[in-house]
Amino acid sequence: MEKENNARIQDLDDLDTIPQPRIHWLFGKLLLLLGASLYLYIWVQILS
Amino acid sequence: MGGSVSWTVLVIYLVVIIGIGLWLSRRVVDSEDLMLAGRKAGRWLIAFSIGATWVNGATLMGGTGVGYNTGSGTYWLHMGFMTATIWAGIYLIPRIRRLKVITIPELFGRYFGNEHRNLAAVLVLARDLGASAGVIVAMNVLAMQFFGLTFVQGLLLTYVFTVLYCILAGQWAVLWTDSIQFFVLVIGTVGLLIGVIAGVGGLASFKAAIPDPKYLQFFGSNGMQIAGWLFMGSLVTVGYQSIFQRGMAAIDENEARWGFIYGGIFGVIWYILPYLLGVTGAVVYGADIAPNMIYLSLATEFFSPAIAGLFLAAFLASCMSSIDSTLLSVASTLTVDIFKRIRPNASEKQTLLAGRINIALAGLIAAILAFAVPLILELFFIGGRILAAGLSPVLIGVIFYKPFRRAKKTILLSMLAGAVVTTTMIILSKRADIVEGVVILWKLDPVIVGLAATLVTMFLGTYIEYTRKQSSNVASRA
Repeated sequence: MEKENNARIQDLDDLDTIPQPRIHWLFGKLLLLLGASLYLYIWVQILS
Repeated sequence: MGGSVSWTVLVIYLVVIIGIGLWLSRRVVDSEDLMLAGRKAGRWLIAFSIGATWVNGATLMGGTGVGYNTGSGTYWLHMGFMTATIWAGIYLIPRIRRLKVITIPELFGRYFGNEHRNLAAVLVLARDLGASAGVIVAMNVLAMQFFGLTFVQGLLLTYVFTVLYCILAGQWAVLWTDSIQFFVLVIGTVGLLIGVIAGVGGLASFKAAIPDPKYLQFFGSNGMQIAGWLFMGSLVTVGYQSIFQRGMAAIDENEARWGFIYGGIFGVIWYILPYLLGVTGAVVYGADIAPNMIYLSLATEFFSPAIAGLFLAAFLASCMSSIDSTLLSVASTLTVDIFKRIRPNASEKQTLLAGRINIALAGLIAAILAFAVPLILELFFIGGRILAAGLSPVLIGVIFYKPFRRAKKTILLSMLAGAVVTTTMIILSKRADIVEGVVILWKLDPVIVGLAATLVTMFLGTYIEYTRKQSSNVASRA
């Protein structure tokens, strides 16, 4: 069961190997940073 | 509200839509044709249909009403949906397409188990049924106001027309009719705006008659509010199965990507319109109008019956193109995540039939909901918010973050935490400003709190579950 599950999860892990342009990777990280900053900003505003 | 409307235009419009459903029904041979258009859709069909799905009767009525009440700054309320659509086209959809799933719960079921699948199905259904019912109510306003129908007669009419072409050709009908409805919608709204501005004596007199500067301030909302809207909209979009299914229906990744990018851009541009129409409402009617009725009033009082018919057809288009998408999404969940589990050996023919019956069933449930819950527009927002905090971050997590995929219990717990905390926040929240039946949570959106619960559970749980698994693996190897 555990083995079968791991084999299936491998499908999801394979998604990480899809080639993508470097600019997409960079832009994705920037978006993540922007999102995290915005979310923190909202909480700082709420708590202050 | 006075004004006569040409029935002919509306009847022609409805006949064309049903005719298209009938014509496309030849393409539906199996259940995947019904739910995903056989995965053969091109970028433009996807783009236009996404554009039409994002614009519905509630946003046309509600957006115009909110624009009238609060000014143009509320435009940003919708931008999270659009930016996330573009993001999903570039990052999320290409990945999910490789998993060859039809529904979001199916994805959770395949990789994590039935409990995950059931919870995801509940969250998806809550959003889609709430949205369908909300738009049915909006569409009913038209049936009651202009055709003198009762609420139940209006429901019946909406049900018959929308469900019929969906049953006939499923996702093919949704893609094609939505694309046509997109054009009707754009022509209708732009035409109405230009017509009304010309009617008040041209742009110069129109600008001079604007009663309050807030109507021209597109950046009038404060930063925190805009950030909150962006978060809420983005997360609603990521878990929105109707949009997700467009990506699955594309012929390849490239078509899906561009379809989503164009669809999102259409939305960014189009959403200026309801706010401008809100401004025209303020200019034309002053304080003497129910905000949600501005679109329908302008359409019927300023123009000849035939032109008014076209504008009402645009309104009808906005409603039908959203209901068909959500009904198909509900029917897909009922078929793939319930029927196929009860009858795993069902033949393709039986599954297709089940899919069609489920479209009719989904319409029926949505119509009953619309009839039973008077404040359905609130449900529309509430269902979306629970999905946004409970399902979307978890979906992003399993698609992009490896350790999270190995934390099965955490995944379930995170979905549950997000959904429960958001629901609790909605119930406890006393800060909702209700603008003519449309809830705009100005101060603290429940998604912001629900998202915190989901994220904390996700990261803490994954750390405990995944790290423990890793260390026990190392120990057993030693």
